[in-house]
Amino acid sequence: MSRDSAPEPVRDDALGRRLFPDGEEPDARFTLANERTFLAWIRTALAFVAAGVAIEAFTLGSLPPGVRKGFAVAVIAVGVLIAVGAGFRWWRVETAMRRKRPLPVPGIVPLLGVVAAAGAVVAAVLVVSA
Amino acid sequence: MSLGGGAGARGVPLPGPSDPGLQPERTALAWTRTACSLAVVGLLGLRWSGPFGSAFLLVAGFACLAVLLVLARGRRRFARLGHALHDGAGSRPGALSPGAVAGSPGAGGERGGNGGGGGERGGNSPARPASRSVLAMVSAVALLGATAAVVVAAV
Repeated sequence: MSRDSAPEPVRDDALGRRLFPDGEEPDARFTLANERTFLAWIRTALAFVAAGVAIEAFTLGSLPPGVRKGFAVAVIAVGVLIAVGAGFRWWRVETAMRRKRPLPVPGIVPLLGVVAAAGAVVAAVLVVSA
Repeated sequence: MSLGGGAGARGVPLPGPSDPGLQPERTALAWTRTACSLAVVGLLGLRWSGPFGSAFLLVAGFACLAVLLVLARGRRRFARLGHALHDGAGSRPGALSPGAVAGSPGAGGERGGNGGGGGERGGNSPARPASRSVLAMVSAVALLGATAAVVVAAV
């Protein structure tokens, strides 16, 4: 079963070889599922970035400017952290699948839970005190 | 896994355990969704950015460029992948396009025989991980976030 029916122009994937030097490629469906998970995390990260921008843009006057800016920057920073963490996790999961090792424990999940809960508390405090 | 095997000699073709042709499409859609979200956030920052408009213009432009690169690469990759997954799962010499799986009666008999063995693995259809696209996406979001944070702090 090693014939190609559709022509496959295989480009030189130098970055791929550097990131995944060993192991054998897993079933394509697992690679794709890993990608979809990564993309879902990215969309979450983008939501955080947009929320940080919205905090700065839409809560003018109800907070001292230092607190507001600090909060907005913190939320944006969480978004960036999620994005970077998601890319790192994508790499770790793909590597684990290639070496047929167990998948790594997701570290972003508890962090995200804590941050989202804290954000909700702060938002409630803002609503009540405005 | 015995869905195909039960078809017997006449064989109305039944799809395999997870219709392989749809995975590339789902992933392509996920990339498109994410690229659109990225573009929206980039343009949102542009709309709001105030005196630092030029900085955001640059970043939004970069984000859109990353989006276009990802989409252009994705189209070719997923077309190839759709063909490859069908070849691996169906053990058929002719590549079935992802949309034509259910409606090809000629494939029934052979798929019935091979479905149990080859259908589950789909393993001779490697999907090289999209390293460059992943890197582009992470970089775009990080850049967007960093620029937004700087603008928020400085204005």
